[in-house]
Amino acid sequence: MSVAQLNGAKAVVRENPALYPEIVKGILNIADRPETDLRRWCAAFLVDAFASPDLSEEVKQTLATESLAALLTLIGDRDFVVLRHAITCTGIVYPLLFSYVCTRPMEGKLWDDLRRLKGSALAHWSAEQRHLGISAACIKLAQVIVQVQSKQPSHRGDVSLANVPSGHPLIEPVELLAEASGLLDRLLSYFTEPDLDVVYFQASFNAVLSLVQSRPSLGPKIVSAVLAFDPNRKRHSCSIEAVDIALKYVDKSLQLELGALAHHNMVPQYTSGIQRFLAKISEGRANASLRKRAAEVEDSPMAKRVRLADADMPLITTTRLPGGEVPLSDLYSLVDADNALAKFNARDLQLNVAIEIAMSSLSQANQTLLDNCLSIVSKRYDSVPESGRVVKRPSDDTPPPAQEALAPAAPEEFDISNPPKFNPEQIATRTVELVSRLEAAAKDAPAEEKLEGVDALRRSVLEKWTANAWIFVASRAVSRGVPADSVVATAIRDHLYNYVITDFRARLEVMVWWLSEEWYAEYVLAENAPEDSAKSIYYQQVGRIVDQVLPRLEMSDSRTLIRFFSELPDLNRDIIFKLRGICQDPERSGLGFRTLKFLILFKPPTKEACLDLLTELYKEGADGAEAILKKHRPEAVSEPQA
Amino acid sequence: MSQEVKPVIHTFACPPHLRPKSSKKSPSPSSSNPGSPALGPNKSRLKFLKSPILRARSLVTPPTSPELFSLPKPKRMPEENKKLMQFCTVCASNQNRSMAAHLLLKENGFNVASFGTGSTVRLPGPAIDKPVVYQFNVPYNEMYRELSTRDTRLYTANGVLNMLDRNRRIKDHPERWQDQNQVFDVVFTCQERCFDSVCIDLLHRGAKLSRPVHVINVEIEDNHVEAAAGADAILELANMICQSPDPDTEIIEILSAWQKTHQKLPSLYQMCYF
Repeated sequence: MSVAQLNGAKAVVRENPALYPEIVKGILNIADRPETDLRRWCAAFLVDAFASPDLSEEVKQTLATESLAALLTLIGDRDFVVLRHAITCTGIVYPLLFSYVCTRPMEGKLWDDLRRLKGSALAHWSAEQRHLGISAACIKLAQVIVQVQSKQPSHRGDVSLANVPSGHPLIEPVELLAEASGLLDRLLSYFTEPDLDVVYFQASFNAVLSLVQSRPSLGPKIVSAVLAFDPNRKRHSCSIEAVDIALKYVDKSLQLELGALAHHNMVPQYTSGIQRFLAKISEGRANASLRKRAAEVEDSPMAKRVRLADADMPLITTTRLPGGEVPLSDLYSLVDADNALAKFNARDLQLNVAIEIAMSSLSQANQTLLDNCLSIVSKRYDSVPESGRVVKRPSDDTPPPAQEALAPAAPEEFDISNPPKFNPEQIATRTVELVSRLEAAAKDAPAEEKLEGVDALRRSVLEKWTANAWIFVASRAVSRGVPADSVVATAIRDHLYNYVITDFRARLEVMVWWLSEEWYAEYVLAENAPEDSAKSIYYQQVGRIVDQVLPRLEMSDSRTLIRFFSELPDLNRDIIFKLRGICQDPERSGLGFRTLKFLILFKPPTKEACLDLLTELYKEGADGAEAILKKHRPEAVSEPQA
Repeated sequence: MSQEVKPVIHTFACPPHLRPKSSKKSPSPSSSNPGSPALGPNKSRLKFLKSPILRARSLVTPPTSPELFSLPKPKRMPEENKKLMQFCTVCASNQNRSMAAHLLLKENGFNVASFGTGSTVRLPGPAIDKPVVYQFNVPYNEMYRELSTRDTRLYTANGVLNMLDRNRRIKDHPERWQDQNQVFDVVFTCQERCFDSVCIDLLHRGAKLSRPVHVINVEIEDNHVEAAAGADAILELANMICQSPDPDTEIIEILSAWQKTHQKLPSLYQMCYF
């Protein structure tokens, strides 16, 4: 018998599928033939027969009872193609034979055989399985078993535990239910595993989605497990070249099938969750290329040697230097001499680049590693005077500076002379220069950072230099760092004042920030807050700014003015009375009254002062005052009439 | 128009790791005996055998378990695979792209069928907004006769008659994917929309037959030149699949290798069940 001859049988059933039962019976004995080709053919033919749409369920059921022994032989086969077909076939016959046993309580042997077949087939579903065809068939079989062994009230033709008559001597629903629940958990556990294999993923995904359709009661559990899946955080089992394409396929599967699930509203409570998940997937892919590269590097065995971030010790840990003359660089060197890094001349770098590299390396350095490195270098340094060696600089093209030979200098020989003292004018000039430099440096920095924030100062100065960072530094320095009446303070205040006044609309936030710092230092931190607000620096500065700003306001600036007055930490009578001018201006009086009304409503401590001002204005005959007074101080309005 | 199909000599660039394995290669454990502990200690090694680098390395370090050597080696000749596997090609109208690929695969000895996923068969008509519309069960021959009597010059010039003439020699009439119940091992679709339709249709069928199927989309533009080029590319991919001893396991590597030489034909892949 040869495959060519058997293919003749295949041609016959293709012409007339009704002949399947007859031919299947004829080929069952091939299942234990020694020739692999024949067994493969036999297994594939069985799958074709059971998958044939032309055979009725009853015929297939009878055929399944007859083929069970052959299937049991094939499921013990060692060829992966035979196994793939045999497990696929088990998936098809399981519901047929289950329903057969349901109606025939006396088929004890058949039920035992079926359970044995199921057990042997599922035994091939393991992490060691390297044939994905077998894994895919096992996943599908597990899905079929979950489907059959669940309690769902089933429609006609659907096989489930609902088909089992009560008191069936062979089938124990509780046991089968528990088995199904275990299998479902195993199917779903794949979505949280660290490894990703496209075929395995798609097989699992398709299997559980068909469960959502056939057993809606399992839908929420399944969908919530699938939504925990994150393809970007997986280790890919395919080759590095195939990672991009694999991710693309996974995304497409998720989008296509979860999209269909959401579209048909099959798991209503998760529909919006699915839509959010899909939006995240398509959004995340845009910048995922970086993460993908990172994963590749990790996977490469070559890369592991240079990964130092996680190590707590440097590559070279020796604390003793070799004999003879040693270049100075060796004192500090913590990498191999033949490492490319050791040959690199850092002088080639531009100063600003070098500083940037050093700063960012320090900020990201592993603290333990850094400590270890420093202690190694320190021990080497200590060992130098003991051995009395002279440690020389490496020979260089440019003549080395004064330290031709460097022995560790004794501390007492080291002296830096004190710099000459500055006079007050010099201090003021230097301060202004300093603040201007800070401001200039900030111009190139990113501007996105907002001013508020608990750790704004620390963050802006230590971690990230942003466009507004100099304001933090300058305003904190002027309010707390230097004596209030010093030359330096005045210089910084003038600079800040000029800065905010130049474009007060855009720099309102900065203005409030600075003045808040002043107020906080003066009224909260200081032990003796000034009782007379005329002596308060905060009020001096606020008065100075208000005097400068008010004449320049236009009617369209009402939001700016209200915001400024409402965000200042404190207002006194003098400041509020500065609004008198604007209220009397026929063109802009609305601006002033609106601000006063806002303060009355939302800043109660200023209410009396505002109403006093309004009363005065009312007496002077201003138009807008009456309406506000009627509401908040009616007696002031009625007085003259009375 | 690919009515006269040139004999195609395929020298495809199959990367070394995808070529059929020689007998020297490491035996592939099939783990057929669930009771055997042979695969247990080699778990990690086996897991990464899929990576070509590590697979190459496994040649140097032989597996420690002697049982691994006794396992049967997978060997299947490509010609044999062609006969064992059922292929099909799918486009929108089962006229141009799927039929070009159908013909080429058939000529190269594959078991192949072809389908369309659209609601009707649409052919280019006198204007871009006036297509000729047929139902799926109308034979190619009938379409050919009707269109040649309607306007021979037009339908010869736009290539429709040539295409119909080719198609009527391949099969009787265009078939609709959603209206058939055949099973396949590999489905090639020629457009993302068709790929979506096939996958969703398979999902809605409920996967009652448990049969795994590889659905592969090769994005081909719907014109005669691109259809011919796309058919060549599909044939190349089908050959690569048949040459693999274990296409289920290697399919992603195969697609990745194929995609490298066909950058202009973006692919999609989904493992589904019938």
